[in-house]
Amino acid sequence: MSAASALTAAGLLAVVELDAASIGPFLISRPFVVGPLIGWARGDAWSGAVLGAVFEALTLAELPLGGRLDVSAPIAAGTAAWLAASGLPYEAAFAAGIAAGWTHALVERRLRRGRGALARRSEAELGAGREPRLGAKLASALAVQAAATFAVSLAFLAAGSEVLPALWPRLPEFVAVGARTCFLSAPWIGAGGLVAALGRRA
Amino acid sequence: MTDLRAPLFARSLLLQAGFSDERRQGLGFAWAVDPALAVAYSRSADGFRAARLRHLGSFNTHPCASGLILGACAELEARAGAGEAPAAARAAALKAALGAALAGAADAFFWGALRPLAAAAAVLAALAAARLGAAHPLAIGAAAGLAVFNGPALFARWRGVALGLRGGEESALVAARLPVQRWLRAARLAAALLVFAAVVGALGQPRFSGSTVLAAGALALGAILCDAAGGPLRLAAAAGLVGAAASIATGWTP
Repeated sequence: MSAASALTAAGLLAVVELDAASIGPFLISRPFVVGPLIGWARGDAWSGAVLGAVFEALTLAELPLGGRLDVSAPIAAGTAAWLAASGLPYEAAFAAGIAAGWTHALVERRLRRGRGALARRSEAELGAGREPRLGAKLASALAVQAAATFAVSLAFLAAGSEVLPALWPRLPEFVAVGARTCFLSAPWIGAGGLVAALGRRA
Repeated sequence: MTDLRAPLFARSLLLQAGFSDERRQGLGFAWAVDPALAVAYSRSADGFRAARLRHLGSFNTHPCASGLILGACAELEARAGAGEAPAAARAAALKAALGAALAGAADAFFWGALRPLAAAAAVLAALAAARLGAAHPLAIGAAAGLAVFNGPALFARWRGVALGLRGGEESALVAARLPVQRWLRAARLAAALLVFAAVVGALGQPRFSGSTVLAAGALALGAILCDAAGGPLRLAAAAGLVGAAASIATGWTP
């Protein structure tokens, strides 16, 4: 693993992920941007673009209504893009990306549960006659979010690049075939579902 | 008179920064509307504190639709600060009602139609740029996708702030008269066509398609079963299990 490259990628993801549910949104956290960006940072933008397109198709139909969060698309796409650009088979990178995205979603749900305290603290300060610094509280929420994203991303980039290259070739053939089938069918299943849903609603 | 358009617009971009299960966008809304409250209650510290407290409550809407609500609340709070006491209660009622009403329409438009349109535009622009020999096709694709989404999204936010500040409660009626259903239908149709075109374009790329038969089968499977299966990821996982089973039974490889 290139430590500098993993740190750079995790740092990029920590910043870009804020667009997913904190700032904007401007869509810079969507896989169609994150995939090529992280791939480019690792030296293979096209591999990143392929993984980005796969995760885009998979997560596009999912509406983040009311802050619903199943898999963090930017972290899944970014992790997979970096691992694929590092030379890991696409299907292995895809599996690692799913795991990273799912873990990040768990962490974010935990953070969301805790953030209610910021508003309660502000109310208590107002009740006591003090003026709460709401901007500072938002900045702290953003900093914690970015730090958590950095930690999750770095852990998966490090583990994925150290463990998977040795583990993947030793897996039974049927597991590799299943993973490859899943990876190859995923974007088309996502795109098919999306086109059908859009057509029905239009 | 202080022009609040720029600060309300800029702060609306951080509406979700403090998103929590308990208050949703409440903290972000309170911070976003703060400059308007500071102006409205510049002569009453108690009034300012009470208004800040009111806006810390639970609030949720689509972020791109927040401009109108922020603008309308700012206008009503200005009236309340000027002595029209009932305007503060009307601001709270308007905020709750508009938040829910606009969220439904904006979720359908921005998430349900414009986001797929942007992603499909990005894929198509990248493929076209690569075919034409452009230097940075992926950057061109990403820029095209971002432009497709951010143009309408930022315009809606800015115009919403301006409309709300000018019309207060009346701005809700103006918003209700917009032909949203027609826009929604057009955007969905355009998105469906563009996603289909992106799929056809991507099928021609060896890196994407792997086996064309598998891709075509998966496309049909997704179109028919995606909703029933509970989402594309579950269906893809099921396809992986079938592939693994076929490998054990017949030695099949994709």
